[in-house]
Amino acid sequence: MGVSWVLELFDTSTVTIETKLIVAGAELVGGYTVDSTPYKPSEQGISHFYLLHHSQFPQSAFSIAHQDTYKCSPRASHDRGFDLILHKLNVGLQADTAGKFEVAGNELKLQDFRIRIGLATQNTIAKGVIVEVEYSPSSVVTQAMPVLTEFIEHFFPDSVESKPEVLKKTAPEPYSALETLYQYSLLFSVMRKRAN
Amino acid sequence: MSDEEKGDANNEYLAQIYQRKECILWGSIYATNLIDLENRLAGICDPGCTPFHEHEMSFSLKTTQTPDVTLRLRRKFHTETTSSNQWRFRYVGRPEPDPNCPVVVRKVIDSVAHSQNMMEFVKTLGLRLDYEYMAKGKVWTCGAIKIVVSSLKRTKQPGKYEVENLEKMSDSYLIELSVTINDSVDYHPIAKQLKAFSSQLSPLVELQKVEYWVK
Repeated sequence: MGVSWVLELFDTSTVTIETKLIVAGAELVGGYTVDSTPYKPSEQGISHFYLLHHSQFPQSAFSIAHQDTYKCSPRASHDRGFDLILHKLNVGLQADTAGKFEVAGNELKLQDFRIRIGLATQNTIAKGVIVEVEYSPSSVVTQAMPVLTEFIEHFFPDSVESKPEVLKKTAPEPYSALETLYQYSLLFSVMRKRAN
Repeated sequence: MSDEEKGDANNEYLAQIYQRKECILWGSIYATNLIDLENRLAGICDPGCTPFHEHEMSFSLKTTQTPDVTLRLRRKFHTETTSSNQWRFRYVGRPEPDPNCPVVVRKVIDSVAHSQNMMEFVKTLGLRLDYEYMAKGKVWTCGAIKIVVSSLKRTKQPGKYEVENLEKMSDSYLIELSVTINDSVDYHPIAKQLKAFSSQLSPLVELQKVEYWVK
């Protein structure tokens, strides 16, 4: 697993981005999906949090409760047994199916990069285009960032300034899939608040 | 298919993988007689045993509605560094109300989790700590049967797990005999097998169906 930069693109379509990448030599690898379900507390003392899944990690589930920064956000990665355990906690935490986000689209491979381009929907209502660019050879952010930034500069120059918080690291710490899902969940939060 | 129906179908699929039934019996033995039990187990079980030292914390989701939902979290315990971020979540359901069954049968769901701030995460879920203990012992297997022999310690000061803060809960070792089976399988034949196996440990240990839910 590499380091991923997840971004939202405006005034474009998934087909336009795919065409641009295919012209540059990318190959279609297959499809992918990401989903995020908010869990709402029904009692005091319980927090609002999100359960996410990514088709690249089919046996895993990721939970994140948003705080000011990633480091202070309570978070965990689990196997899918946790989905069932959460179901047992439904007296205090209930899945908000109306607030569920899904991203579905295609995955492309361009040399050492995997690019996932998908349409984000909330209950079948399109909310925006999300692109995940993964640099596969390294799972250390400080190592991967120069080349990942160059890729974003080349293909999506308008997004290069909005570098996600989890990619602003100075120490060579290992990157985890939870950080990719955190980026998705932040984008979903912004989309959720935005009127169509 | 609506999102809710999709969610239910997904949970059914996951239940086939993660939801199990556990048949279990408990007993205890004085530490001075442990060696006899270990020799007996070495004779009848699969070759070898696995030592373990784990920290278990039992949490409940306390709501105004009853009953509370209990979740147990376990991780490897080290007195030097208590910083293992790998945890096991376990949900244990209410026992089957079957007075004719010779063992306790209950639903269990296990899930492995990793978190750098697990205590904050469980607080987010609304879970509150009920009790905790450290279990040190060995696990034997005999086919599908799992035999866990452990001594339990508790901490005198919550949150402090250095050797000097730990005290034994008893001079006895706890013995647990269990089998987990697929949730859809009839548990009666397995329960009988487990009871029959327990009689092989008699008279060293008398394993019982402890009706812990009867107040």
